[in-house]
Amino acid sequence: MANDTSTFVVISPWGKRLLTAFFVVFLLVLYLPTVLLVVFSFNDGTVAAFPLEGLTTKYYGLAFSSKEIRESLGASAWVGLGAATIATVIALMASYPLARRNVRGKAFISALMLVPLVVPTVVLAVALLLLFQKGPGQVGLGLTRIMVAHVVIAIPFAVLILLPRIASIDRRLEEAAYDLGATGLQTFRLVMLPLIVPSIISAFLISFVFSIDEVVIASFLSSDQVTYPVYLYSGLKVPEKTQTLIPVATIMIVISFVLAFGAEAIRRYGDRRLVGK
Amino acid sequence: MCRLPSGAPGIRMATIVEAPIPPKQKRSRRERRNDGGSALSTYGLLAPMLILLSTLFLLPMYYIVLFSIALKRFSPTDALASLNGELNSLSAELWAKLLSVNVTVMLPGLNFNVPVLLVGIIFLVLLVAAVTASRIPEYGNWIVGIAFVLLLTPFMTLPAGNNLLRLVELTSDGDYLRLFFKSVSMAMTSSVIAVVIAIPVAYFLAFCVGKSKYTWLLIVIAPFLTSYLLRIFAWKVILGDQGLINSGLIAIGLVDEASPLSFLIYSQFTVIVVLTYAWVPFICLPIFLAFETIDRRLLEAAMDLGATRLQAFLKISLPIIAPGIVAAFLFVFIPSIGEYITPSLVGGTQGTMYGQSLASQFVGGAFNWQFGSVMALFLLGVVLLITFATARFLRAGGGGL
Amino acid sequence: MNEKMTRKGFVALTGATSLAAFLAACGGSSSDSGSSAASSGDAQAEGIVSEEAAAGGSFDPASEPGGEIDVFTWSGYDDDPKAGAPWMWSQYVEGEYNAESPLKFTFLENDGQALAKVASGYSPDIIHPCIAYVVQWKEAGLIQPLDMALLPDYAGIPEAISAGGIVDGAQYMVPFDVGFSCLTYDADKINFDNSGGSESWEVLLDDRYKGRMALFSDDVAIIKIGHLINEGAVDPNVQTTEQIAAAKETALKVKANLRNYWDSQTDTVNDFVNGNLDATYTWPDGYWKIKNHPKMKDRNIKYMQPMQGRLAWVCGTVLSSATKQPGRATMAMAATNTAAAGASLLDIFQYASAQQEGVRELIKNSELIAAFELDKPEAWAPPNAWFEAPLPNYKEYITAGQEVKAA
Repeated sequence: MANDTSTFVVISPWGKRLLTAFFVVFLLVLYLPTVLLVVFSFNDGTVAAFPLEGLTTKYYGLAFSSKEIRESLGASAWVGLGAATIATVIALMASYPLARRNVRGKAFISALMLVPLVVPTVVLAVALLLLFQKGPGQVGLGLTRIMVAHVVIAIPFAVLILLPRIASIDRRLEEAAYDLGATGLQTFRLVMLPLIVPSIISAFLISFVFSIDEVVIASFLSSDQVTYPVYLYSGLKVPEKTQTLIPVATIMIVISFVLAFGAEAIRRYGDRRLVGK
Repeated sequence: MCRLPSGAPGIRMATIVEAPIPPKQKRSRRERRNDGGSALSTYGLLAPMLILLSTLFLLPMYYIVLFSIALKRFSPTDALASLNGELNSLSAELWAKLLSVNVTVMLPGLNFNVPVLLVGIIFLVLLVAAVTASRIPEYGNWIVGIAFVLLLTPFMTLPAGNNLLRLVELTSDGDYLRLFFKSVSMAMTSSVIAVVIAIPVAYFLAFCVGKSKYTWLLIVIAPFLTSYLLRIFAWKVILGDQGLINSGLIAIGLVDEASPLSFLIYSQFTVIVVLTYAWVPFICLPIFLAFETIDRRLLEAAMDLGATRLQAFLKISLPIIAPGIVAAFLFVFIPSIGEYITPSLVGGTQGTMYGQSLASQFVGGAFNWQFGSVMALFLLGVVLLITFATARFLRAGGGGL
Repeated sequence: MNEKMTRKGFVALTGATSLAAFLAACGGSSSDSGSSAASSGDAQAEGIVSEEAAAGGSFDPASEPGGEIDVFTWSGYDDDPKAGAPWMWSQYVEGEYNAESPLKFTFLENDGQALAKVASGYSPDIIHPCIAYVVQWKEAGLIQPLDMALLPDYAGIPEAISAGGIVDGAQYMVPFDVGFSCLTYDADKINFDNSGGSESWEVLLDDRYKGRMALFSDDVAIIKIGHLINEGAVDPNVQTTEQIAAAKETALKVKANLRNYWDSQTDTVNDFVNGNLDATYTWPDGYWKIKNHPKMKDRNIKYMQPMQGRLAWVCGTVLSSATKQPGRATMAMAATNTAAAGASLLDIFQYASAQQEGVRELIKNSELIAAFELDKPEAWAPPNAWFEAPLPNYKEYITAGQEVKAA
């Protein structure tokens, strides 16, 4: 019940109704394209137009049985999870001193972190292609190269999420921990980490969403294995392939819903246990 | 208890300890350093990022700088040759030629030539001003603010009012510059709209949905796990002449079937709509997290002291979330300027953007990597200025950058 | 001249300002300048390889090492059997070397991206560019001349089509897919009154159809169409600098009437069927898909045969100079050159094949023969069709096309 009164503090009942309405409209618009994709995934034809030419589930069969689609989705998952993990860890490590300590050249470092956002991906893609193929070491192409390239672009996103949050945490919390004899690492783990977990998850999510949708760098740096967006981008030029790619969108949305509601169920279960104690 | 992100007991304690401290208290320099970290650990923590960005960003950008100052046009093979040590060094002659070019600025009823050197110096001065001003405590905000406004004046035009863009119609290759300014204004419009939409959404998520807020956040992000290219594909079905919107409007008699709203597809409008759509979740997240940092007891206290909800929002919430909003704005604005897939899919002939021309220099068959690199560095230069200026506001709000 | 001046102006402005800003911001970042010279021997080594190959060109498939043969091609040209139909690679896949040297496919986005990628060191065995780019591939030292002894069906390709694949007397390309590039239009909505009733590219200048037409975003095509409007049925592959400048002016006027430049034909077919367009540049398969869509069955959809002639494309396979299995790769290329491969290309994708001998007899969907005028050789030759060819001054074309799109 404490929850209700505190909501009342920040927003009046009418304001809440208005906001709820706004949020519902927002969600409808947000989901409209996705819903259309679900509808078209059952279209028995290769042109996306209403009325549908007929209903069929055969493209789901084709999508599931396509080795290329499976492999490219696997590649994307690997690149995306890897890039998001690395980017989040590196950004977390970097954000802490930037928020907390006197770092020489802070302005320069901050600018350096943000500029990868600015450079059009095609420019970075061409330059990285040359770097990997002809630069020091000649490391060649492949999925791990795409992953590290995605880390470069995901870092600004992750830092922009983590840094303000760390900076907003009161320093005296840590000072108190130190005074009570905690080491630096203990302080971070016991005081800081619980406070920034939501930001860490958000940074991870944003990096992941960026990576699994990135097509330009991935297409330049891929060798024989391609990521899903690259396969999709070339497949969109062929109507027959486009139609087998649309069911994948439906599958993705189902998976993300299962994840969202699964997480919610786990949280509720956890809450109940806490209350039970 | 209301602002707890989850049920972890550690946070309860933390919140209580935090409670009695007003957010904007100034701290002494000595206290600031008192965080238990040595210089070694500071730079040790920064090292992975610095190493990564130096090798995978600065080094590639160095190649781009090399391309941009090379004397001849580049093809991929030339570029490789040059990286292998045969690059024509930057000659004084080339620079003299570059710097002696005049650009014509056309104001209404007044044309005048400006040496490009002067334009460069003005940009540089503004940059230096922005950087230095960020170190001056008292008037810094003013100086940065003025520099910011000066830099952005040409960009602030909404696409509808393209007349203003003629202020900066530069005759020497006006095409690409006009395209640049148009792109900046389109990117800015879509970023502003996205922020305006995201604030209430984030507010709702932070304050109105109780403990399931993270589930709702995931639901907001979920559609973005399906491919962007496919969602654009769907947007075309929505916005087309016989699409959902036009069909709906025709059905209720607002629009004549013979003349549907044709600006909905293949226009600047479409690009702005789709860009806004594409970036909204990227904006919702940082703003939501900013709202999460607000201690509601501050708001309660303010209202106990007689403030209205609006006053409490403006005086307490807004200053706290300001850095989050600026960060969110940068999130969207910066990558949108160089965007090229969206405009080439839904922009039509009217909604073209700078990034398309830039990309086509690299992959368009003429392989003019030199010109492409110059276009990229120009973009980079302008955006760096904007970033420096905005970083000031991030800091002013306590954001830390 | 004017064009060059303007470009220089922009280079100057941006060079001065952005470099200054960039260097000021990132000063001292260039400490790595020396390290990129590490691989200087490489490019030269590649150059030597390709010259040797040019002199030789006799491959022995039987003695080659085996291993995957990597085909860098457009999406859709992979080994999809399409319900059992013989496909472009069938002869090779069923042949003796497939077990040791199976084909593997990676997809390219466009000619430019493919060239940049291969030039940087990515080395597939077979590449599938379009014929206009053969000279660039050759000049970059990335492809090698073919051993004609391994290409028994090559003679079935008309010279008009294969000519562009010959550079300095050596044969580099086995043309595979060809087709027209022209306007598909709704004859109930578009008429040619303004050009005396006969079909003409000039319809693009007709502002009665403003906002109802679209073209391909290809820079060269934009300029070629401008040229055909200006000059009539005159070869658009041979344009002087002045003609290109004039074509650019016309292309700018055309642009004012266009709704969009499309990147993917799928998109423009969708746009046409969804009522966003009444005329759009398509390949024959796009025309076929529009014409046969249920929504279009009451419409009078036509494929324009303009008085200035259609544009036409030729793409095909080339052999990488870095391949370790030139003989087997050439045999895979030979598979694409068979009459059976050509017939299935038309049946499945509604693309025409460069191979002409014996193809028509194998085509299952005979309706397509008439629809695509395969039985009319004159439709496939100037002045009715202008096939893509290597352009010595291609950079001028592309620069002009890019400026049209940027304006």
